[in-house]
Amino acid sequence: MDNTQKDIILEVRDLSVSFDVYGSVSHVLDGISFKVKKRERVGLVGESGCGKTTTLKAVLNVLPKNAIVNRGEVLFEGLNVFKMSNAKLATMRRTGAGMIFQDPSSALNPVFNIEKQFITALKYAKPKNTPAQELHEIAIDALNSVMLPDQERIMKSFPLQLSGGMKQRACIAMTIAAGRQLILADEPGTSLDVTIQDQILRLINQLMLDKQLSVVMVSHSLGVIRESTDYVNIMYAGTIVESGKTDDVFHNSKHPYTLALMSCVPKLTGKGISKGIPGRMPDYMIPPQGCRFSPRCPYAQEICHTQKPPHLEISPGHWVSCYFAGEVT
Amino acid sequence: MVEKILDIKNLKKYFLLTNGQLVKAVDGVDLEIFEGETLGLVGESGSGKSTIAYVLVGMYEATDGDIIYKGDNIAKTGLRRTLKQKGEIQIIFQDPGSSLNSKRTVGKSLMLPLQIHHRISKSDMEKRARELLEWVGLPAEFMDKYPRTLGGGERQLVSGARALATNPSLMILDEPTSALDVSVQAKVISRLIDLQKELNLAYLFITHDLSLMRNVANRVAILYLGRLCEQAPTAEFFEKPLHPYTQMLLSSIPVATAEEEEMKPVKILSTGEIPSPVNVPLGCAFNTRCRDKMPICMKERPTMKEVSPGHFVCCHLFNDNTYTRIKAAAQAPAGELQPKQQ
Repeated sequence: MDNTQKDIILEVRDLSVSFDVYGSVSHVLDGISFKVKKRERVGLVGESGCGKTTTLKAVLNVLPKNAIVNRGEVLFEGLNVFKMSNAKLATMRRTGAGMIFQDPSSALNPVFNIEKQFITALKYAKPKNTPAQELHEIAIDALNSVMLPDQERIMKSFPLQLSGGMKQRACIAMTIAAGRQLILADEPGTSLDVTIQDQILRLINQLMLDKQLSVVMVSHSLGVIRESTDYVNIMYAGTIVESGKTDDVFHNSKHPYTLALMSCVPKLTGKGISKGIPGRMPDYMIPPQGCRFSPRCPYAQEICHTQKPPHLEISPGHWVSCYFAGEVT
Repeated sequence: MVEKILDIKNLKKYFLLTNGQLVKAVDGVDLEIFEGETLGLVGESGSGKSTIAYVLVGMYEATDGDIIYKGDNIAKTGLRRTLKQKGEIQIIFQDPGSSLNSKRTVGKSLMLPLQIHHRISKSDMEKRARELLEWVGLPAEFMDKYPRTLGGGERQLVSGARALATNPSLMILDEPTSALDVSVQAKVISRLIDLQKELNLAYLFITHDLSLMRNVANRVAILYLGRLCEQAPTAEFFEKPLHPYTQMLLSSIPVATAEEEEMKPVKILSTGEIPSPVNVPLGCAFNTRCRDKMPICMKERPTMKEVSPGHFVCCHLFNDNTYTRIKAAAQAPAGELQPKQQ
């Protein structure tokens, strides 16, 4: 038990988060559980508003003030982030887990050059009294490892002088320079062109191998997730509907939502486009009582509308939250 | 015989910056659009896709070149076009949040073009607006709703209904679904395809999503720094991409199934970034990132060559009739082709 426990860097257990919106309560996350092992790439995929980013914020315990954690825990290296002391929490954020944001232009401060931002961030991550020269060298090394040429010039540049791809590389460099073990990548390529996105995803994969990092990759693009994760969780309306090894989930999908989502993705093979999923995402103020997908599910029965489906293991390591998993194709 | 409705010849649109630099946003583009077909225009950000769209609808005047629309040259007319010409070419913008007036109900937004273009009585306008909503598959009670109460997909369909109000024959779709989720995108696209069949519309479909393009376009044109690289019928384009940039683009697409993975050309690792349109490289615009570049690419700008019927490539590799590129590809050993640098 000890061995497997040590191998897990992040564990989210039955996490439920709601938001207090002017007196009424919006129940967003409902029982999210997943694990991230060391040197593993885990994906969270779902449509906008399904709670992907809320999950990442909960991991770093940076949820907005109106958020209420109803139940569940987030264990980072075995410690619950909701019960950590402020000092511990700060250390975790500075050197343990770091986030790469979707839009590198707004993640960097436009009025300071890269050097200023980089060194400030490093100052807190490295031991006190580290000489400035050493911090500078660490930063140059990090920029080199994200394959940015001419690092001295980049250090002196302001964000507006760099292209989107270069800014995203600089953000990644800042995240890894502090020696972080867990990278939370929130749609790292979405705001970039497809050729640049390809470069960034390859870079993250390469860094993961070189520096033995763990990555939580969040995206709405099934293609990105399939190509850059080992293990995937499909999210719908604040719940995980299907999870398992990426290959299993993509090639042997069992949940009606996963199947519907897959059919909506335009394919390069050119077999036309489906008609989409009928209906809309449920209102979080009054979420469906049973399965959250039941109002839109073509296979829904009486029980789906009234009782939450169990999380069933249909084959080793492949979990599906559906009463009729296996019967649906 | 399908009629050609739009003929763009050597279109140029330059912008002068305040510091005296010239941005060649569109630099010599030739395109044709036929009645009832979808022409896909693909390119990275900054390649000039939207500039072409805005010149076509008259928001910009072209710097040089001709746009022949049903016999009239409208390249330099800008907003001085006749009302009929304005009504014939309509556009759906990328961001449905900002292209609809938030202070107007959907009904009012739909009735404004009717009022300007058709001059019909108010009751007729209302009737027609309901009909337009029905066309795009939205219920009539949307008439009294405000855009903020609608979802992204519904807003985009309202934009579509508004564009249809003037009975256009050419509709420009400027990334209509890139702000939407895939399940919503599927709904909007399938509705747009049905409409095209019902009304015999021609679409100029602008997007950066090649997988989507595969499923909607009849022909595809690739734009890079304001110049066309390749133009071909869709199936041929995806099966036999010839231009090195097209190949890089296709091999960069993240795909969701193993079946698609096999369709991609040999993995060509993408390198470099699109240069600034202020400093377009001399010769071929793609020479900074091309893995097959030759000395001539740095000096001379390549011209469009028709390599097979309807398949045009703009690359020095296809300069002679022997198609060195195809031969080289056939002889190359299988496996990953590594980039030359980085």
